[in-house]
Amino acid sequence: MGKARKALEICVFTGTALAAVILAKPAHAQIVPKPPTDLSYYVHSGDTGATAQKLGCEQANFDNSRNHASFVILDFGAQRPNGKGTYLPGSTVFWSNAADESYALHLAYGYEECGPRHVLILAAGTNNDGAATNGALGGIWGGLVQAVARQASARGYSHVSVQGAVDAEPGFGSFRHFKGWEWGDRSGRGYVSRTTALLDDYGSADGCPQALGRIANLKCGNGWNVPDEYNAVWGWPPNEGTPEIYFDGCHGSANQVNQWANVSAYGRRYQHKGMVRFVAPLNQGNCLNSGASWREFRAALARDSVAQVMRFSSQMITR
Amino acid sequence: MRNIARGRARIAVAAIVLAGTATGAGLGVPAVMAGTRSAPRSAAPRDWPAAKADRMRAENRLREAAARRPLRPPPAPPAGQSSRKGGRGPLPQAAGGTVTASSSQAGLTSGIVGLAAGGPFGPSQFSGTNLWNGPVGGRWEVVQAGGTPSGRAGVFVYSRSQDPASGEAPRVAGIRVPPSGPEGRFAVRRADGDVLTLSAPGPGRAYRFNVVTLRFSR
Repeated sequence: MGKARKALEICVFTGTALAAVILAKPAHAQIVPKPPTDLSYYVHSGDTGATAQKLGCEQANFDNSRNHASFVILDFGAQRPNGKGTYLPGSTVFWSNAADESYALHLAYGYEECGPRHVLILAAGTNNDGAATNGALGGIWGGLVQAVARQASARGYSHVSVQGAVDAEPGFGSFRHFKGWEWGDRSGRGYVSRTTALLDDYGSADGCPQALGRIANLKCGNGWNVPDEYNAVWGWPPNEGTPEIYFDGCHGSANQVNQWANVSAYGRRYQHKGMVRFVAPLNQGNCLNSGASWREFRAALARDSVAQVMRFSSQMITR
Repeated sequence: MRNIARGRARIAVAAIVLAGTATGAGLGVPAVMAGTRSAPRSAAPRDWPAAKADRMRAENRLREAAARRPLRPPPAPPAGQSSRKGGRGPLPQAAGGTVTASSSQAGLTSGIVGLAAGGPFGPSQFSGTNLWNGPVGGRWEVVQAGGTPSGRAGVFVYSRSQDPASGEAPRVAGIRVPPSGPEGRFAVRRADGDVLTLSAPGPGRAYRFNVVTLRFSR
């Protein structure tokens, strides 16, 4: 009994010491393997409840086989100006809000039904494209996220955590409108008035500085600036980030790797909430695949003195 | 007795190591049992500000409460986002040029829409401003106004099935730019019959684009 206890104490001590050594090491010095890459989806006009259920089940099997939790965004596209649903991504087909909710719930059910051992974070996403991004629409989206979360809970989906997401991009619209969408304006009370769920920004930092470490010029595209991007991805309490790391300057595109690293570095230097703790890099598998997206982003964050361990790796696809 | 104690100690150590590893990696661990169902615990990352961690905790409370409830499927999907795969009769044509699926849960509305990314293209191919869409020759045509990566104002044209629930891939006609056209990005200002009126920023004339012939005219 005594020997067993001593063995236990030694193990606990060794484990604690090991943990202390690991935690004390700077993040960039650690060899951190890339987490399994979870698929997120641009919802498509041909998708059905059965599609969503199948995707959920596949994710549960994937998580069980990799022994890892997952993070999945469903992108339902831009909201219609009248608030009655969304234009599906890259199309003019609209779905009602009820159809969006139903699709998300079917994916959650598919996950739960397939014997998951981990947690799926499911983010219902829209974007700031469209002629009207305002507080009224933000309130409608917050209500939709809250409805999915409550329904998932009421129906026993204990392995699915629901939150909101937004593909916020300077190229889509002004920061003032986006801020009104989230926090409210004269047209309505915004996303935060209808839900306390986190809001994942999976957008781009169009026009922001692309040279690593050069943030003297804080201007980005369409009147946005680096502090705006910081707020959208981390500074505001509900916000977290799965930034687009689609391009590294390839094919004449922007260097999103450096743009987002700079946003985090700006936070570390100038904001009391500090550097951005990203959820995951998001790739599309074109210019950068999931491995390259993860590797290049991690390296840029380390070079910009904002090294960190991201919990997930994500790829956005159209099924 | 000693063996039993050793066995217990091993289990305890394994549990500590497992829990420590999982917590450190921020992963969910099957830990809470309620009846025959479970809700894995999932904590906010330790380096998150309190206001964010509170929100994650609220999400987790809602999720963990689900373990006390029986598993039930979601309500049937609204019509228009159904599991139907085959064809069906003519689609209802509502006033104002709206084509809907079997209910108002999915549809297409003709006219000018303020979408910058309303088509199957990426920013390296085309940058949109707004678009016109509507039925042309038995299909649903979309004329996305905007500009090319080289900075010329133009339109990106494609068509799709008139069935809003169709999963068929769109047919891309491609990018059209007017000869000696302006720099910048077009926006659709008006639609009169088959002809769209487009303009680019700054002084200059309007351009007309025929949605049937897919040609610019003066």
